[in-house]
Amino acid sequence: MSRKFMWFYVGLALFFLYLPVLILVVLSFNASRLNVNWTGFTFSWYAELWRDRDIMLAARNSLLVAFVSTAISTVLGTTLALGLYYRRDILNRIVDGLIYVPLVVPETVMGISLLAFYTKMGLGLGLTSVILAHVVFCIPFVTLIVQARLAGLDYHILEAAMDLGATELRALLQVMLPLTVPGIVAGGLLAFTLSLDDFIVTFFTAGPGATTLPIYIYSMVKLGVSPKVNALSTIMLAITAITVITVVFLLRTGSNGRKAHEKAQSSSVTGLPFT
Amino acid sequence: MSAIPGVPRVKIKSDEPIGERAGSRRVDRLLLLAPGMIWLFLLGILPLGLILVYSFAQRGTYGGVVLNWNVDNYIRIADPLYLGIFVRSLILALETTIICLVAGYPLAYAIATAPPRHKNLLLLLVVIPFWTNFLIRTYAWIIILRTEGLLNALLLATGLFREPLSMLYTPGAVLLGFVYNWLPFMVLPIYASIEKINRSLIEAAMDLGARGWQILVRVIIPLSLPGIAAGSILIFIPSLAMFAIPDLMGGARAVYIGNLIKNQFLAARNWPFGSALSICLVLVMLVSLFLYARVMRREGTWS
Amino acid sequence: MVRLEAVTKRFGETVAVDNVSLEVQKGEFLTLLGPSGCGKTTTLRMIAGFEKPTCGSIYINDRPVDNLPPYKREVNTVFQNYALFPHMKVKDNVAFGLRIAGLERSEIKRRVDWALDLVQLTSYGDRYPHQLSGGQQQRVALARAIVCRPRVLLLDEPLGALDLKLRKEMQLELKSLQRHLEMTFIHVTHDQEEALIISDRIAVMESGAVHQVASAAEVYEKPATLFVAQFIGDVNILKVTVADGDGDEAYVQGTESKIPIAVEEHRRYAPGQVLNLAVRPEHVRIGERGARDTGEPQAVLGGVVNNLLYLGSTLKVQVVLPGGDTVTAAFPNSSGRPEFRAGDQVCLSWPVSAGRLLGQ
Repeated sequence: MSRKFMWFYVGLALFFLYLPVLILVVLSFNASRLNVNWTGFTFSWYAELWRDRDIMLAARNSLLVAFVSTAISTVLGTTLALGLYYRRDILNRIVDGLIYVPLVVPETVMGISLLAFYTKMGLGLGLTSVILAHVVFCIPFVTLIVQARLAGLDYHILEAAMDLGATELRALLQVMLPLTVPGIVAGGLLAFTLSLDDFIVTFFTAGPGATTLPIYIYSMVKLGVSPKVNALSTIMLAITAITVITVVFLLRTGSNGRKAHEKAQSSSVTGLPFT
Repeated sequence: MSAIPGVPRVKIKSDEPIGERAGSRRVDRLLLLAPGMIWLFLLGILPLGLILVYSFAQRGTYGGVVLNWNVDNYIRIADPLYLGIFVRSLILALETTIICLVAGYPLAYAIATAPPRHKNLLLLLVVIPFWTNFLIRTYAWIIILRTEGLLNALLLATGLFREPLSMLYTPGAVLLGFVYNWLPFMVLPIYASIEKINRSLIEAAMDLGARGWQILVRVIIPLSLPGIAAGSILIFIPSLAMFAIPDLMGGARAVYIGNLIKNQFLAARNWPFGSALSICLVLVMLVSLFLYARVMRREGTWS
Repeated sequence: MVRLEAVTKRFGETVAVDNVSLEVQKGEFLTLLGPSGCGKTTTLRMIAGFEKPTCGSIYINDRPVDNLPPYKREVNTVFQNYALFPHMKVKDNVAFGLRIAGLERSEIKRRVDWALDLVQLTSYGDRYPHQLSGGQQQRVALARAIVCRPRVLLLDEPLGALDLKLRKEMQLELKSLQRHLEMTFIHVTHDQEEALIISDRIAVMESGAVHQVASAAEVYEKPATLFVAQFIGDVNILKVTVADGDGDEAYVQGTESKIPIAVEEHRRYAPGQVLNLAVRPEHVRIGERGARDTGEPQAVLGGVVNNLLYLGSTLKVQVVLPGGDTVTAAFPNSSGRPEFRAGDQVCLSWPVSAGRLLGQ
């Protein structure tokens, strides 16, 4: 393949990837309610969005769920990774199995199984049931990222700590844990996005009063095309783009001169939406 | 510990070696592992077990579950109506995977072989749209494809068409929605595996007389097989179970396994049948994972 | 067979190879020897076609190859870490170049068998590279390159990843293989002992420049520069100032001693010129005060024994000169242990012809 052709292809692919999204953004400023014809520039859909109490509530719910499930899954995922480090025995195999199940089971199946389980246990659907479910699919990602970070460390550090008299637990918590902070942060960020973004599992586990933003968007889109959805989408796109660019920029400036480190970091960031 | 002349020997308080004081290590590990394990078991494994049990149950009068251990639900899946849905879903998932592979491989290859300073930027450009919620991305295509949508407006404006085409609410629309949503899942792993190929292997091929496309076919594609396998599995499994995109882009006639399962749980309230369908889905998933593991095992022995 | 004419390679600001001219004869085993970063691998990669010279030209078989891509050059390379294709069996690795060339199937099989036989891996054709030991992988890499019958075989530190014992075996094997095939080998290494053992000629490189191209004996015994003298083998370097007169005597810096120096026909040194005198430890003799009479003129210096080193086959005695410099003398262990102790006043001497005068 010649380089020219490859550039042409890359351009074409990016065009395909970005065009729909850009159209969405443009139409969010279109005064026409129903048509794709441009009838004038307006901010009115954004204003309408701002006045919509339901949307604001859904946004608040989404953030609440994301924060709580990130906190829980980061702690549990990190302790799992630490516990798996250094030693290999039957426990590792069990935990590996436990981690891979939520990763590979289709979300739809996970959603209905949790719905069945909550009903069986008599647990009402609400924000709590959503959080409990989100933690399940967030833990594996946190564990895997922290494990990747741990694998890059020299285990002799841990042995040195134990040689100097620290128990294994103490050595893991006082010596290894601080060294894995970048991995924990990356894992936490990923958990946050996954939770914020989740629709399918939430769809089955959220009760009537626990509408999150994706659920809200789904019901709006189901009802039909509305400029308000354009505006909401544009805002979410802007937030996403700004966040991604900021994170990448921070990682780049934060690790000057440490090329391998930077590479590992940026690739783990670009690899994020591996859901 | 030999005595060094002139240096007084330091006496350690207790005579026992300090290394032996460490408490039981098994307890330490359990302390770390238990909370996560319990959470994953209670809310990850147990519900699946419940579904498995339900799949052998019967629908009660008011949509409840009556457990009487029968395989009627599985027999019902063999009904041509449901079997047809199953096959249609498998075909759609396969089509999605293949199109993503064909479209995604050249893109991944182009990025992996781009000059280093462009590489990260290109990767970022591929990834950014996919940090947005897939419902928004799906919605964008609805705007384009619907009867009063942008594409129809353009087509009518060219004068080639008298009437708007109905593009939304067709199987093609669903396929487009799937491909658009999952393309990066193919690009990223393939990119990673091409990137990982040792440059000296390509130089060795060149040294032995291979040029451009020969290197691609004989060295690069075989060595990026793990990436292809990973991308395929990342796309195949979720597209098999996806219900939201067909719901939004496929119209009323677009029923795939995902929609069927969803309907059994939310509309028809036949949980046992929905459970049996889910178990079948999990079985298909296990088979594809098994195939994937075989490819990866081979790769594991190479490196 | 291979000729480099004033070849220079720059990567941005850094000059990797600086104006190198070199000629390799047909059937010769030439080694590019130098410390890491001296430009030897870059030189090899330019011959292979992986790098393009910034200026200068390369000829293979009297044909300029500057615009030929690697796959059109009649050279093959044995890579540093072998670069075996991990997804192909040994025989498919070896057959790769032949298949690309479009040879007939039976002919490919014949040649692959021949090559595997040559490297003594006949029964390993159906294995994958990861199932072989490092030494076996190295042989596969060799077979894969040789089977294409290149005019020149390029070897980029081919033995670097092997352990010492295996490396020594492979050195001899490589050399006999090269003789057997009568093929031109250009070999890159940083291991001076390997270069001495294996090569017909050695090109010593440093900072992108070739210091000397000569046989192993000449490079060792008549180093052209101070760098060559220090890089290959052990050597004592003394700073000397040429004395007034015929220029055949010099003061050793830091001492009052004046010693005779070798005067060559074509090189005369001006009085006052500062030079480096290089003397190999095995040429240095140690006696109690008073030189031995051997007929050949000797350079004589006094010093104090500082240290005795036992190295198995040799013994080394380190003597400190009045100026603080140390001179090492080496003796074969068989000649009996020298009867010195640290602190003894001794007298060092070496044949004048053994001292080599080098500029900075």
